[in-house]
Amino acid sequence: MKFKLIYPKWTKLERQTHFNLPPHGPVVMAAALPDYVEVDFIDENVEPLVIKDDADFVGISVMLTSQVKRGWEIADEYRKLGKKVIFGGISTMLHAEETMQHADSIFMGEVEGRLHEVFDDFKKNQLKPLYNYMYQHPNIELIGPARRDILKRELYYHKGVQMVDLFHASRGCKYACYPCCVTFLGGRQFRPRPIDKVVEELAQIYNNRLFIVDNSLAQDTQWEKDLFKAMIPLKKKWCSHTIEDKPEVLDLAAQAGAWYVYQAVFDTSDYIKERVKRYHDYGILVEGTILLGMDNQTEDDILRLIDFLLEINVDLAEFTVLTPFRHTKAYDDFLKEGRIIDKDWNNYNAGKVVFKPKHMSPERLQELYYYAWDTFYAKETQEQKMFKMMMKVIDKEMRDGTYRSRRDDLVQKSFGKNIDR
Amino acid sequence: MGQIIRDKEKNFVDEVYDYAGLWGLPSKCGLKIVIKNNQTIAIITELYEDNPGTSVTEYCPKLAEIITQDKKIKPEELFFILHTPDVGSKYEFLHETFDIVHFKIDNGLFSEPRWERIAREKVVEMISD
Repeated sequence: MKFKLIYPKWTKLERQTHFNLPPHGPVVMAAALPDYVEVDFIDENVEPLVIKDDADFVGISVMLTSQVKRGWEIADEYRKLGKKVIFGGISTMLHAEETMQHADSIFMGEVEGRLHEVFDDFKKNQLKPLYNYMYQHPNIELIGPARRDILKRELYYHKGVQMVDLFHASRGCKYACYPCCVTFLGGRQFRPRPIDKVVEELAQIYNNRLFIVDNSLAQDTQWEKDLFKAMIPLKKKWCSHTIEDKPEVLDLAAQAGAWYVYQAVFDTSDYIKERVKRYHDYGILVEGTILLGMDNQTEDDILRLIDFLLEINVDLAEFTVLTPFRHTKAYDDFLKEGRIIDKDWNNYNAGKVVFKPKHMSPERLQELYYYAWDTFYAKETQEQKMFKMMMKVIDKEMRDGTYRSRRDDLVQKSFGKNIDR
Repeated sequence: MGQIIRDKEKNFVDEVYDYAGLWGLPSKCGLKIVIKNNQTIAIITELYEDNPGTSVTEYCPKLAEIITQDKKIKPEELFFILHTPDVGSKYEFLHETFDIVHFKIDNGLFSEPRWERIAREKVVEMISD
């Protein structure tokens, strides 16, 4: 059976340097497919999608809210051709009721051990409109190595340099942060994968540079330490969301190849300043993630935050505006207070103001968003800062004997397209 | 019906109420019902991560309908209060809130929710003997 799996395109964050990373959801999903299913994967962000009658069954995987409308358009076209379409992924769960109107079926929850039922139903022409496995988490040991073989690898290179591969070591999150929907999606119980399974998968990944996409690795100190210890012999280099900043954790993380970590900078406290310093002390770089527009932020707070970022020397910064994604407390609060001003999901990319901020106009917050990017990168551009970060990882790889030079045959290409010089 | 899980005086939850959310998604909320002066006050508590399904805020018109039918309450006698408990954060937007939800009611169907913020003290006063 030929299954066309599509990852719809979306509009990237304004001001941020655009990269296309190989998506994670589709490769994890593909690993759970029955053996008789042949997957044809299309990532519309790096290649054009030609809608035609070339598959038995069509799957659409949506991670971001800003992907859902494009996903619905694609589904509508395939359904006109008489094809059955199933949706899955994070934003299917966030926008289930709307997505149902464009799909023959939607899958909610985690796929491991569940897709045989779906495909058997499809073969019998008895596809159900909803496969609801929310909160019926599969045995975490069932998560097998992701099917990265479905990716067209040459499309994820920029000037011959391969993008990081995405990887996950756990699911669920014990935290319930205000703008985040992860507890709705994966539950509040932290579910780490067995370390031997993690290492088995990591060892299969050719790429030496990874992005560990877990919501937060800082959930169980012992597991975190065991994970990093087990990763040391693999000599991979990686970036991740937050890790704990205890000395013993940072030491092991550095040995395990920590390249840079994301650190939410939500105020100008010594806590943040010292935390960034501790990462740096262990040779771990820091990308600050700064959410603008929280109810506790005034214009002055935002301006101070930008100065603070420059002062504490974060290596890179990513600015976003608070976005009330569905199934978050932010969404519920703003809905109650009548503060949501835009419900065009294409604008929910965290770079456009879609709500009324408490202490300023939406227009002013939008201006501050641009100001933040422009000010932080005024003296040194994103490309220059990223180049420095690349040099650091190359230096580490040289020392480890794992450095691979860029692919000469792809130096004139960026994500599959010729570079205009 | 669920078991009593919390001190009702503190948290306004008498029972964990199971309801079918959007697309039949199994969902839960806290529910306390007080009948006073011919009015039925229903306090619906958001359970956050303990609610595996549809959030009560967006679903409150349908939830009001479900509760009135299930608990045999006349729609026009329902006084619907939405409660979001404190989650122990230093940020004010994570503190406890109560909202009276006003609806348009037509043949037992609730629509057009409008939220009116009220203080905890007012809620306590409303349900006190």
